[in-house]
Amino acid sequence: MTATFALIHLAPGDPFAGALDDPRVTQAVRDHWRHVYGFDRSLPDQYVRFVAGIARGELGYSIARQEPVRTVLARAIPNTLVLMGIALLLSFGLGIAIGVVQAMRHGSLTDRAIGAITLAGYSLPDFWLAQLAILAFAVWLPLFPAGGVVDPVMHPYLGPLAAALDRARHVVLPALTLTVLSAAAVARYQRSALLDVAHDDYLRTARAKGLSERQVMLRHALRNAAAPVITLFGLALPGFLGGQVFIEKVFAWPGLGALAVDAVATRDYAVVVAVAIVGSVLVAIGSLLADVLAALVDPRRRTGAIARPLPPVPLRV
Amino acid sequence: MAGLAVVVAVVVVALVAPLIAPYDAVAQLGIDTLKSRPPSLAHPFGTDPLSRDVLSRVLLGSRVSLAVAALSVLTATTLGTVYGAVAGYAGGRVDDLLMRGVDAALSIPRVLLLITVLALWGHVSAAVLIVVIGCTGWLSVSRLVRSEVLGLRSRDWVTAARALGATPARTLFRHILPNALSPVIVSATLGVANVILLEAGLSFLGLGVQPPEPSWGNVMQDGADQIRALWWMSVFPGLAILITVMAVNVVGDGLRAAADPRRRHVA
Repeated sequence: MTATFALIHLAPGDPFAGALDDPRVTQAVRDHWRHVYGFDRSLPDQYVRFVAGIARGELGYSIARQEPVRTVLARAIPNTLVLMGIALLLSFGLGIAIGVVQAMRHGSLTDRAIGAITLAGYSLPDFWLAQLAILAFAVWLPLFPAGGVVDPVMHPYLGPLAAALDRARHVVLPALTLTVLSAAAVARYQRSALLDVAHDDYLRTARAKGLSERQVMLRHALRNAAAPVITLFGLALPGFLGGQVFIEKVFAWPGLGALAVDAVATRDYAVVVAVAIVGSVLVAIGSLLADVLAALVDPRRRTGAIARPLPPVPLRV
Repeated sequence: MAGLAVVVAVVVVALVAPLIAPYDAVAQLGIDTLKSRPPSLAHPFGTDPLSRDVLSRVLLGSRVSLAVAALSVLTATTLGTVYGAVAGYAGGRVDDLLMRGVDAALSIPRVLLLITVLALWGHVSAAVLIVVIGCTGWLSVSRLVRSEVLGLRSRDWVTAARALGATPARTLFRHILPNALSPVIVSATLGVANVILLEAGLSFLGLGVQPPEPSWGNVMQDGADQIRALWWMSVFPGLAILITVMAVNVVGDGLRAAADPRRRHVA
């Protein structure tokens, strides 16, 4: 929070730079508006007011949108959470499944082929994949809308069922794009976590009991390899939110990421700061959840007695 | 090896780009017919809305993209190594304090932070980009180095070095750090791949390398608002990024397998 404030005020310009620095505007007019919004106060004074405001839950007023920041955020947060929730669920489900398949056929042609694909998915620029998705499935093969949350013209006139369908159609492309990007990282991680435990004693015991490789993997190994993947979930959240910024921008999805990019363009400080704060809070909540979940799955973590160092994290951004 | 070959090829292309580019990357060809053309024999990657040759811009753009990636990762790795080494070697309260700070900073989504800083910076040059990306990238490096140093500092040969009268700084930098370097090199390699993507993304948002200087990201931005019509503005630079990043990642995986035989299967 403090860091955000410092960074913003270190940079030249303020929200009026665009509107008021026109040479035809007199100095008196500039001074008047800067005074009204408090930009003529000393920096320590502005800082105290800024912190006090946030402590009271007041995020300020969006100058570019002429609305309280709270209202702007209240509109954007649900959109971001919906997209993020769907994409996280799909990418972890898909990624874990792919990782398990790869680990079961470790070293085979299937493993290598999937490995090449996940490496490619992991190396794709997010915004490029989003553009390709639009080109392929909205322009050349017009199956889905290219952007937005609902149809801008027809949505208000649709019945409840058709309206829900309209929303679903709009979420497909952005959600799938995000899923492809993160499922690749999750799969790489899951595969390596499984192979890490593959030679542990308890698995040898399980195999010696005559269990099939499938049973060994799904019953015994997966549970032990689950904790690192859940930890990855916590660690990957900031990067995931970062990737979502680009996806939201390309698909014109009115969430926090697109809001941040637009607010930056209009030097709307209050909104930029609020998005950074909300983003960090979301990440903190996610990490907490991940820690609790990891302790639930792997009892060794509750006491802090952990047998194995965590594998290096293949994080994006 | 294939990965390394591609990386070397990309670097060579970037170095000789001005010699092999068919046109001047910032020249507007035929100012009277200011428009974007699809790929043709004369312009294999097409031209952009300002009638500039996209192939030349992609070739020249590789220099900025690679230079920013390499130098900012160098910055981040240096900062992170020193910070993490000090925390790990000092241990106790100093370590706690230093690492809690890193934990807190890591919870801020880096992209949001970068967008904020760069947008407010005004005119962004490649140097600014390197500093800003470097200064936000050292956190995870410091964690890695700290855990390595923590594991190494109670080894017998460290005790021996101390017993011989080596100062703490000498013990840390001459005896411990060289042994902690291989995971750092692996993470730096993967970091280069990451920063190429990051720089492309920021330039794509108009926050990175400023036009008319080309970078892979801003070439794509030039066509972004007409993506339906100008597909070549997006497809070709994107492929350049994908191939480069994939090759760097392959090299990183290979290095990791070589550095840590216990985890050879990771590659």
